[in-house]
Amino acid sequence: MARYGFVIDLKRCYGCYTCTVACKAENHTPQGIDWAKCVPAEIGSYPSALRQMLPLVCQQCAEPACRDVCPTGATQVDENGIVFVDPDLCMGCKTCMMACPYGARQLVSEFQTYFPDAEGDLDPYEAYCKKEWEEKNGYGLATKCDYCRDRVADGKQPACVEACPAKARTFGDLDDPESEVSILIRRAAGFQLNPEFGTEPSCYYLPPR
Amino acid sequence: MKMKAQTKWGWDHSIYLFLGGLGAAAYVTGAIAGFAAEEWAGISKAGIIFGVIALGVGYLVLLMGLGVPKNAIYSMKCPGTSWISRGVIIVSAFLVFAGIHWILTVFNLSITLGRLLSVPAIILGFGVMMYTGYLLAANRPIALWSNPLTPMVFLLNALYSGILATILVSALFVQGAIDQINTLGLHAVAGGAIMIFVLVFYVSATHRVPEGRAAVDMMITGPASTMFWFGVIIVGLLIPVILELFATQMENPVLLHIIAAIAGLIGMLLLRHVILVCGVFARLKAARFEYVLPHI
Repeated sequence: MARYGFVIDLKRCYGCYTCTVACKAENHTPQGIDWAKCVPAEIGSYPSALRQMLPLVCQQCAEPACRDVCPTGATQVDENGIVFVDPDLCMGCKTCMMACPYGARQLVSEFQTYFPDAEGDLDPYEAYCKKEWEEKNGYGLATKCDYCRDRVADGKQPACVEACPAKARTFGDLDDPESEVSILIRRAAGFQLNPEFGTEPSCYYLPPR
Repeated sequence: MKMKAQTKWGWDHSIYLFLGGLGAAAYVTGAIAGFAAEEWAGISKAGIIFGVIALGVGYLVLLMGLGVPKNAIYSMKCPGTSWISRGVIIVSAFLVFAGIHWILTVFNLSITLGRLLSVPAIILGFGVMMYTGYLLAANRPIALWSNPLTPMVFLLNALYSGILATILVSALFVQGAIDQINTLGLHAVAGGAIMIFVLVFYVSATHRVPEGRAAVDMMITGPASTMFWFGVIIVGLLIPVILELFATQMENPVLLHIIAAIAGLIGMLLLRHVILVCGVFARLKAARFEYVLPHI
């Protein structure tokens, strides 16, 4: 058993949104649903202004608030510490969306095309994504990133990690002290987002410049 | 950077929270009145009948607002951690006792059995009034909700709404029932308690963290301020007292009692809605930077 986690190096991320697109291509998330996000922030003012991107995925908390508030048991944690949603149990009450401090949970009410003005059938790729989404997830559920569990089970890296051109993301076993993620956290002062909420995120960040 | 409030829980949740609390409190009011003297029988019947119906309607509103209503059958699975599971169990148990009492009341059957059933129903009724407050208080990123006083605000809101609903139904359908109640005293005391509790204790308890201050600003001076000051404070709390003051000078003030009760109910619904829409999320902090969550 492992406890999978991310290390995201904020010095390396330059906000190209490749992670967002790679996630959408892998998981066929519908319009408006981004499991991998990049959020900008600025401090200071000209000429000393600084801008920093914050790549966000589900923090895969060891003590997930979304699991605790879930009334149906739809939010579960697997043997590798990955928090996932059972689509057959979720009733779409949105409580998890209120409890998650990281905005990881997103609800898809209904399918919306990217091309509402287009006439005729859906674009073939969009039709394929719609079919895949409906088979794996469906609508009315509070969905989330699951670290590409299927890829990880096949020995691959999550799609956003593999696609990141800046190599800002590292994926691995937090329980293994010799894994790259554990070494990075130790050597580069990795920190968790908002630890005051007590959710023990498995996603660590390395400080920006 | 400006903080954002949640947008996912809207009017449907406000209406459910309002009807749930109002229904349970109206039933409790009616059931307690049932233990009093004979002249309270009409008020008792009005509260019991209307309370159970209001809670049932609220439940339907909640079910219709779910993403996958059919999966609501699993909603009692996690009472160890989830306030929704606990709430569903409390509401279901309440509906069993109160539902049988409702049937006995509607068909004028055994009063003794009704009183017996009302004892557990009254206790569960207080659970129904308070659990929605705990449901909100469990959301730690939202400081306005994650406040030990939230369940108390919801309890006060529910009790006042339930009593007002009972007065309203009694005034409409039970001849002379309203004369039994000191409506001016009720509006002044209950309305005053809610106003002081919300404006002093609740707001100050929320003021300790930036997202709490942002929520209070949103409520007092920001986008929700009209709804709060005009809807909650003026319509919901002050107008009923003013109307009841006029009512003391009139020979047949039933219409004023009705308008005062409706105004109070509108205010209590808006109070719940204001608390929901002012649910500002905490910012994420990474080194010197602070980030506002998207998609909330």
